[in-house]
Order: sequence, then C-alpha cells, then structure tokens
Amino acid sequence: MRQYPLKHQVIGLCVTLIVVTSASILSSFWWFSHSYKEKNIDSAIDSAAKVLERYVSEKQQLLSTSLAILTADYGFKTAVATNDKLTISSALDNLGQRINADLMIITGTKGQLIAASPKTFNALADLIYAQEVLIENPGKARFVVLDKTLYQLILQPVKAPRTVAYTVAGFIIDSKTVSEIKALTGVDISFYSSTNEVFATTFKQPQTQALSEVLISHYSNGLFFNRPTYRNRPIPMLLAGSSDIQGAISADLRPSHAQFDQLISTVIWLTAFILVLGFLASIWFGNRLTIPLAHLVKTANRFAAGDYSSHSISSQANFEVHALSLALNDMGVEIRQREHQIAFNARHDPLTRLLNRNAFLNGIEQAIEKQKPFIVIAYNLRGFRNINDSLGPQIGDTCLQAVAERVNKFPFPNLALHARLGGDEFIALLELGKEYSAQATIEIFNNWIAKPIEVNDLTLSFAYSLGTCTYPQHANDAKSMMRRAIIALEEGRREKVAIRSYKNGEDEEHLERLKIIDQLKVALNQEDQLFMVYQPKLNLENGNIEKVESLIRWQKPDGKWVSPEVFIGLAEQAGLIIEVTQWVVKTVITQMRAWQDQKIFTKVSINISAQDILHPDFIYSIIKHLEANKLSPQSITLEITERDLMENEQEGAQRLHALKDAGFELAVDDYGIGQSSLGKLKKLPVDELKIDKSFILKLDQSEADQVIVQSTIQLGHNLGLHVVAEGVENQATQDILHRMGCDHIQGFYFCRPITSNEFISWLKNYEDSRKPN
Amino acid sequence: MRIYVVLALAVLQWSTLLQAQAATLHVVDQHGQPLEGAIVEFTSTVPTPRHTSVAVMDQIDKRFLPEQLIVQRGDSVSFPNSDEIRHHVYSFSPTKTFELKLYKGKHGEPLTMDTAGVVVLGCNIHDAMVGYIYVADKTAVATDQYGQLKFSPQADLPITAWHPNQAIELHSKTPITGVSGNQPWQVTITTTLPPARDTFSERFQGNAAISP
Repeated sequence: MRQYPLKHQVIGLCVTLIVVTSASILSSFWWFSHSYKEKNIDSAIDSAAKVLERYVSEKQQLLSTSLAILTADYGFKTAVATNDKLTISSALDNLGQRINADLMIITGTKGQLIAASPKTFNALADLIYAQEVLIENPGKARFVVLDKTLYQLILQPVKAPRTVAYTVAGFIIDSKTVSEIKALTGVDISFYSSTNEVFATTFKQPQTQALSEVLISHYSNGLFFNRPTYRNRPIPMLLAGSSDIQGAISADLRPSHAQFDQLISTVIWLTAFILVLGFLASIWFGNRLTIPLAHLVKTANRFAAGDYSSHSISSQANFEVHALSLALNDMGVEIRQREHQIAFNARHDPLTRLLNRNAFLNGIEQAIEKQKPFIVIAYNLRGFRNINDSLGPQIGDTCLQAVAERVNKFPFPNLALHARLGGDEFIALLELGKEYSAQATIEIFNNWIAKPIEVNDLTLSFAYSLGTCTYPQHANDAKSMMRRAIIALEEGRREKVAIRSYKNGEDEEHLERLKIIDQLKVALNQEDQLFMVYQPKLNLENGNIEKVESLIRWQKPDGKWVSPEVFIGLAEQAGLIIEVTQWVVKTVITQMRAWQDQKIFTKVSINISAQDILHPDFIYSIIKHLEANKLSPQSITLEITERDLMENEQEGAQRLHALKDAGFELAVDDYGIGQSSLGKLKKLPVDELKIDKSFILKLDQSEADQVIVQSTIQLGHNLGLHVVAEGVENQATQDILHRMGCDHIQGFYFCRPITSNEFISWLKNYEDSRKPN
Repeated sequence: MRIYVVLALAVLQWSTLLQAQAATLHVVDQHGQPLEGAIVEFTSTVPTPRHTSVAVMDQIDKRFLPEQLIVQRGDSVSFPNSDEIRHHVYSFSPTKTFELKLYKGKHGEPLTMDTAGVVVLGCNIHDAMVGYIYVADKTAVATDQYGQLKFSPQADLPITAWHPNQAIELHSKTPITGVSGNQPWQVTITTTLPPARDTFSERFQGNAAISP
C-alpha cells in the first residue's frame, strides 16, 4: 500500500469533509429550494388558470343572461318577425351598450345578416362557419376568430315561437383583456394560432418573433446553464369556427431564477470560503503535528545509528507528541545503559564480573601481538564442591566472587588479565618480565590467591590446582594457550599435583583421547566393534567352573584394538561409562540367557564403575534386563574397584546395600592397591575380594607377595568373604594359592578371556577332561 | 298518331276510373322512419265536405290542442283558453298575423283564415307552446302514427306535403309527383330534430368556454 504523509492525510480529510458536507448541503438546499420554487410557480399558474376560467365564465354568464332576456322580449320578437331592421339594430345597440359587448349580431335562419353592431362588421363568412357549433350549444360561450380578432361568442335563437333568427353577442379577447387578468394573477397569458397569429398577449415583443417560439424556446442565462424563461401551460379551449386557437398561461421564471441563483451562489461562496479556511487550518494543524514527528523520526534514526544523546524537545508539539518525545529521550538513555550492560555482559562473567572465555581469548591474542612472553594459568578451587554441598550454592557463589575480587587485586606491574571459565575454574594471563620469570610469577600468584578468604564472617582457606602454559614455549596462538593451560590443570589434578606445567605433546594426546571418545560413541551404537569376552574362574577346592568374568573388547573397523584400560578410563572421564556399562549389562545378560538355554548355568561378573553405582537408574535398568531374560540377580556378580569404592563412600555404600538387597553378589576388584582400610571394608556389603594381579603375577618368586597374599586371604576369610586371585600365570602360583586356601583363581595359565563360542567349547572340553574315564 | 291519342285518352279514362279508389301514401323521414303528422294536400276526386262550424284551437295544460289544426281557406278558428292561467297567443306567420293579448276563457270572435298556408302559433308567456294551423285550399289530410294516409287524388293536379319539423323553410311545401292510381307510394321528408323544449332554467346552466 502506498503511504501518504500524515499532513496530506489531514489536509485531505479536512478538505474532503468540507467538500462532502458542502456538497450535500448545497444539493439538498438546491433540491428543496428548487422544488419550493417549482411549487410556487405551479400554484401561480393554477391560480391564474382559475382566475381566467372565472373571468370567462362570468363573461359567458353576462352574455347568456342578457341575450336570453333580449330574445325573449316580445317586442324584439315582433321586430324580428316583421323584419323591422331599424328597430332590431337599435335594440342590439342598446343591449350592446348595456352589457358592454364588443359584438352584437342578428342573423336569419339562413345565415343572412339582419343587423350588426358595430355596423362595420364584415366577417359574416367566419361567423356563419362558427354558427353551426354555436347553434348546437345555445347560451354557451365559444371562442371564435372573426376577421383575425378573437371573440368569446354566445348565440341565442329568436323564437316566434319557432326559431326565426339568431342573435350573437361577444367580447373581444385582446391584449387589453389579458393584461387585466395579468394584473390580477401576475402571470402572462397569450392566445395565438398555430400559424403564429397573435390574438392576445401580455408579451411586448411578439412582432419580431413568433410567440410560440418565445414561449417555448426562450432561454435565459443561468448560473451554470441556460434555463427556459417561461413555464407554459396550455389553456383548454372550447372552439367554434375554423381557426385553431391556442392559449397559454406563461409564468416568467426569471425572478425566481434570479432569487434561486442568488441563494445558490451565496452558498457556493460560503463553501469556497470555508474550504479555503479549512485548507489553511489543516495545513497549520498538519504542520503542528508533523514537524515534531519529523523531529522524532530524526531522533529515532540517530538512535538506530547508535547515537543516544538526548534531543531537544519542541515545546510547540501537542501533548501526545510531547509525551512521545520525552519517552523517546528516556528510551535513548535506557538503550544506552542497556547497550553498555550488554557489551559488558558480552565480555564478562555475570557472577564474578571477571572476563569471560571469549574476552580472555581476545586478551591472549592481544598479548601475543605484543610479542612479549607471558604465562597463562588455569586454576580451580580444590574441594569447592564440598563448599557448595555443605554451605549451599549461595555461599559457593559468594566464594567465587571473593576469589574474583582477590585476583582482581593481584598486585602485578605487568599486564594481568583474569577470567572465569565456569564453575570453580578460573584463568589468568600474566605478562612476564625481567624480574618476573615464569616460575616466580606462578609462585607469587599462587601465594596471593591461597590467602584465606573472608566470606560471611567465615574465614575460608582454599587450595588451588594450577595448570600453566607459557608463551611462546608451549603454544603460539590464543586458543591453544588456553586449551593447553586447561590440559595442564587437568593433568595436574589427575596426577594430584598442585602446580602443573604443560608438557609438549599433551594437547595431541588429549585430542587423541577426545577422538577415541567420539569413536566409542559410534561403536556403542554399532554391532560389530564392541564385544564381550569371558574368563573362567576356577574353584580351587572342587575344580568346578562356577563363574566367569565378563570383559569388554573393542576392535575398531580398521582392525586396531583399543585397550579397555584406555577407553574405559576415557569413558569415565567423559561420563560415557554409564552407556558403556549399559551396553555391557545388556550384552552379558542376553548372553547368559543364550547359555542357560544351552544348559550352561555359569555365574557372570560384570565390572562397574563408581559412576554406575551412583547413577540412580542403574539398579532398575539391570533388574529390568534380568527380568526380561528371566534371570535372577543371584547369577550376577558386580565387580567394583577398590578405588571406586572409596571414592564416594557414603552414597556409594547406600547404593551397594541396595544392590546387595536386590540379590546381587558384590566383589571388590583390584584389592590391595587402593587405600581402603579394613574398617571401611567391613562395613560394605561385599561378598568377594579379588586380589590385584600385581601381587599374583610373580607370586611364586616373591616372598613378600606371598606374605601379603597369605594374609589377605586369611583376612578375607575371616571377614566371611570369598577370595579370588587374578593373574595366575603358572602352575606354581596356582599351587601356592591352593595351599593358601584361595577360593578361586583366574588367569592366562588356566584360561585367557575368550569369546562366548570359544567358552562353550572350552567348557565342554574342560568338563569332559574332568570326567573319570 | 290518332291511335296514340285514342290510347292516351283510354289510359286517362282508365286512370280516372281508378282514382275513385283510395291509394295509400307512406311518408317517412330521411332515416326511413314513418313520419306522423305530415299534412298532404291534394285535389280529391271526392268532393270535400265543407265545415260549417268554427274550428277550435284549444289551449290545455300549456299546450295547443290539437297541435296541428287543418282548416280550409275561409274557415274561422276560435282560441278558447281552457287553462287556469292566461295565455298570449300570437302569430307572426305571413298566412295570418295576429295577437290575442293576455286572456282567459273564450276570446271574442273567431279569426277567419283568409289565406292558404301555415300559421305558426306561439304564446308570449309560455315559450314552449307551439301550435300549427294548416289553412288548405284543397283537401288536406295528416298521416297517422304509421306515417300512412289513404287518399284518392286527381292524378293531374299537384300534390304537396308539409311537416312542422321539415328541414326546408317552415312555410314551404314539398311537391309530390309520380303518384298514379291506387299504387302505394312513398314520400320522404327530410326533418330536423324537433327544437328542444326551451325552459328558462336551461339558460343558467353555466357551460363556460374554458373548462379546465
């Protein structure tokens, strides 16, 4: 849609309103005054017609009565019957004078003229022609033209007693007559023939122009167009004789036209005046409205361009525009503030108001541009989770803010940038100088941040893990600098070292690990990469194979093997272990179902991690799989490493009890290398101890190992636990263990981990070989 | 030639004989309608008996009675007034012009009709009263309601007919020719409408020349 300026719309609206209003007033005024005028003219003509009719009627009455009396007079009859022309003539003259008749005639029954008054009458032929009609209507007036003069004639027969003669009397109807009527009615009256012979008229100018033409086709100039000058109405006439006679009552329309035109032109002038006034007023109003608006538009455009300085407010503007103007100003201020806020938020961590990761990266880039050595230190608060858990996240946040405040105040002469990476992880960039070597700087920084912090009247001491990366020795781009500092931190955490410097190559390893995790994710969703192998456990007492340990294997599509120690560890770090264990549980339980269908009722142990135990759905999902395959929890032993057991003691113990209650057997894996105390072990619902293979591998050669194993077995038995030895490599070791009273052994000497199919045939061979021949 | 004369005489003789017998005359108007009251005057083969008494033209109920009175030339007519009101009987006819001024009952001596012709009677007071006295030289008979009369005219003498409503001048008579023997004969008299009974009130019924 096309858009019109507001000002034009205001002017258009105003002008349209005036034009429409004026036009409707004008047209209705026109219509009503026109019809009023028409009605007036009609009524004038009506009354004129009545007057004329009355006039003619009275004349007829006069003639009729007078002639009737005359012709009934015996003396007159005698005169006529005796053809006494002198007497007749005098009688006619006498009566004519008495009634003021213009014509008195007496004719014989054969049409012969007997007497006439005036005596000059010489239109006998016309009269005789007219007499036929007159005789048939005695006493009734008719219009007759005699010698080009219009008469109103009446005839009365003279009877003695039969008709012996006819008397005719009449009045001339001429211009004088109609003028009298005009004086009464105010309208013009004309009598004329169709051959434009004028008998009587009130018009002055019929000589130069045919009268009928004057009446019908005379137009006078009007305001906009020409209009007929006269309104004519034909007079119906009762005629006698040959002449055609037409009568017309003509109302002169000019005076009413003039009056009407004057009214209309007054209205038109008024309309024009109002129109001009309205036009000017709407221009003024439009300007008043649009100039401040244009000003506001300019301001808004300025805002769009980023200039939020306030504008001058026009005092001329009306209330709403003024309000809008003020609002726009306020908006400018608000936007400016918000833009600052957004810009700040874009570069800063909202909690600590330190730089965020991106801003810090920019900082590193700028530092690199300076081509001066610097160090990036990634650090985190050790044990911060405990603070969060025990004192609440609010206190935790306050701590982080306090740390931020502390680092912000770090007194350092060179460039120092501080950022928060997220959680309890921070990062700092410190430019090195002559007196600030990398090592010295790290120490100074560590000492500074390690000072106790006061939070809500609590004095807290945090220990920090630091990972450092030095430019340009360790990396030469911002992202790598940051990543490698974080890697150093993670490595340090793993190695449980407080300050750890990045070592060249770690980044690549890190990337490699990330790649393995990605590949593992793919492998979990494919059939042919991961598979399970099973290592039988031999019951040393009876030689039965009652249990196998399930172990996961991964062969990548390119044929390369990935060590379980590598990918399980990575999966644990990446939080992928839950899915791996799920896959294992599902695969093993499905396998057990298949075995049981083949009458192999071996129990299977599955390795699980601390994360699995802590996962709330773990117990349900494993039970669900068992139920789906109609297996009982008693057939499953869950192996947890000693390290994992100790990692999250309290919650872990609860979950272990739940698993124990559900019917699962629990085994402590890799026993002997962790840091578990026997007291703790005693509280856990464990069924089995698996002595770490590092004690078994060279058991037959190491007396120290034999002592440890001997006492561990006794300890386990004393606690009511089965003891399993892993990594049995030769008969000697097996014999030693047998002697020591170890319950089960597993190892390459007895049987390496094998696939399900291999296990089935192996087990068959084993069983067969034990059968007594 | 002689033979023709003899024949002519014979025919004449024969026709004379026939004339003793009555012939029928039909008088009709121009529309073929029988015309009553048409007076036919002819020379009769039978001598007409003369009136010895005076003929009477009575006036009863503002009418002349009879409306048409046939008298022979030289006869007298009396004009008694049988109405309670007065009448003023007059005649402007050339046959007999007279005026009997307002009277009641008998009016003096009867008037002698010396001249043959038609006398139109009027009353000066009552314009509607019109009467006719037909003064005949010869035999005059009026047609009956069927427009017929039986007569035996002499063939060679003129026969005339008259009717008060005839179109021709009131005092003139229409000659009848071609009547022979006792053959039925028809005569047509063109009439005008009898004049309307003129009453005074009629004159004042306005009928203006201009009617809207």
